[in-house]
This record gives sequence, structure tokens and C-alpha cells, in this order.
Amino acid sequence: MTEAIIFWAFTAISVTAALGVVFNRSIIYSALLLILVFLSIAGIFVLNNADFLAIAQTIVYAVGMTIIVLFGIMFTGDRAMLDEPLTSVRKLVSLVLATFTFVLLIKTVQFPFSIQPASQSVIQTLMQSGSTKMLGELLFSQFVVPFELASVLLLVAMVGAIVLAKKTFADAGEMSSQQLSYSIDSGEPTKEANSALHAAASRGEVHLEEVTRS
Amino acid sequence: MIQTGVDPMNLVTHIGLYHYLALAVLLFSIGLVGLITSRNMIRVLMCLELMLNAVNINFVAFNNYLHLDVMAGQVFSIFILTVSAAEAAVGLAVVIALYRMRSSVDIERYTVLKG
Repeated sequence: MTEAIIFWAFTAISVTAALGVVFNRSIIYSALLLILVFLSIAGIFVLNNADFLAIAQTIVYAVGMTIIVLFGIMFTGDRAMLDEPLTSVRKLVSLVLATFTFVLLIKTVQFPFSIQPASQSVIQTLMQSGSTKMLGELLFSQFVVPFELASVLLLVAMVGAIVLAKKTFADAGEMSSQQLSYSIDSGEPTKEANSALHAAASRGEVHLEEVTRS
Repeated sequence: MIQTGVDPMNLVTHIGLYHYLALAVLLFSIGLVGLITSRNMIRVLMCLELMLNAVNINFVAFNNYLHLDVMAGQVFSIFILTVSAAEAAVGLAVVIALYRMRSSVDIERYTVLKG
């Protein structure tokens, strides 16, 4: 009974928040609702004896991933914060496709699986130490090769992300010339000039108070 | 368990494997709708994460109800988590690089392949 209450609560939260992620027009609210989805899915994991995964889900998805997404929104969202509405044809096509997929998957999922009760020793281990110990033993014995490959993948993804998102030299040159023209137009010092000034002030060559007063 | 002729109150109070599978299907479909309909690239990535999470629910539920002795389903979930973290990082880097090129993240404006 308790399991049922918790399950329905997490289901209601996750489905509502997922609908919010998809249909909310402001992308910031979508990203924040995504945290709620991830947390409630972590609750679903706990219900399924996956306590380590629930913690990992909270740390990796609900904290790490959402922060990356929010940074992405910050970098790209100066104008396009709101999604423009779609054409009705695309809306219709997507709804038909999603309904079709939903019905297909629900039909597939009704396969009569042979549910097996777990052995007593496993239940006892889970009661005592959770799933973490069993998972660790598996990861470092049977699945050690994919585990190491996953670490290489993470390294490659990190390097790739930095290279992709890095400013190229051409971009940097363009940017500084833009800032230069801006400073000529408005008569205000550029960022580079400001930082040079601060550096000089920290070396004791210029007194910053005097500069700001003048 | 969902069977024909089962009384509906039992379906509400007794949670089984099929409940989790149905939840996963629901979340996957919602993510699919978002994937197709959203015009902002970052929202597309978010919906992708949603779908991957739905798959994770499937793995964990199957592991719990069918093979709790082996725990391989949870290991698979960990790998999915790793891959999706890498995918999100690279995906957002691509979005930022594209934004620098066109100063827009609207998918409708990227029609280079249209000819």
C-alpha cells in the first residue's frame, strides 16, 4: 500500500513536470521542471531497489546536467527565450506519431514476462548494504572493459566539448574589433582597457580612485 | 499486474512491473512529442534526456522484477547515464558553436541541406 502511494505520487509529479518541460513556452522554466522530473525518477529508482542509481541520478542528472543546460540557455538565450508556436501541420504530425508510438509501446510492454522472485541471499544483502556493493563488484569484474571504455568516452567527450565550444582565433579577432568600434562610438573604455587599468593599479602604477574620479 | 478481468482497485493498490513499464512508455512518448515539436535546440536536448531516463526506468524495473540476482540492468543504467552525460556535454557545445555561427538556436533557421 505504501509502495502504491509513493509510486502514484512520483508518477503524478514526473508526468506533470515532463509535460511542463515539453509545453512550457519559457525554456528556463522547462529546465527547472526537468530537475523535478529527474528527482521523481530517482524516487522511482529507490522503489526498485536501485539506491545507488538514485543517488547517481540526483548528482549527475538533477544537478550536473541541469546546470550544463542552464549554462547553455544562458549562452544562447538572449533573444530566443520563448519558443514560437508551430505550424498546425507539424503539431498534427507529431501528435499522430507520438500517439502511434505510445500505443505500439504499450502493446509491446504487455508481453507476459516471467516474473521471478529474488533469492533469499540477495534480499538479505540488499537489506543490509543496499545495491552499491553488488554493483561495484559487478562493475569491476564482469563489466570492467565497458567500464574503462566509459571513462575513455567521458574524457573524449570532455575534450571534444571544449574544442567545439572554444572560440577560434578568427572569432576572437572579430570580437575585439567589434568591441573597439563600440568603444569609439560610445566613448567608453573597452573591457581590455579596463582590465589593463586594473592590472596597472594592482602593480601600484596608477591609483584607481583618481582614475575613476577623473 | 495488468491482466484482463482484474478488478481496477487492485490495479491501483498493487504496483507491479507493468506499472513501471507504463510510466516509462508515457515519459518516453512525452519526450518524443517534445523532440519533434520544439524549435529550440536546447529543449530538444532536454527532451532527449527525458527519453533516456524513461529507458533507464525500464532497465531498473526489469532488473528488479526479473533478474534481481544478477543486477545487470542497473549496470546498464549506469552506462546509459554515462553516455547521456557525455552526449549532453558535446550536444551543448555543438549548440553553442552553431549559435556563434548564426546567432540563433531556432531549428527552423538551419536549412543548409534544403538546397
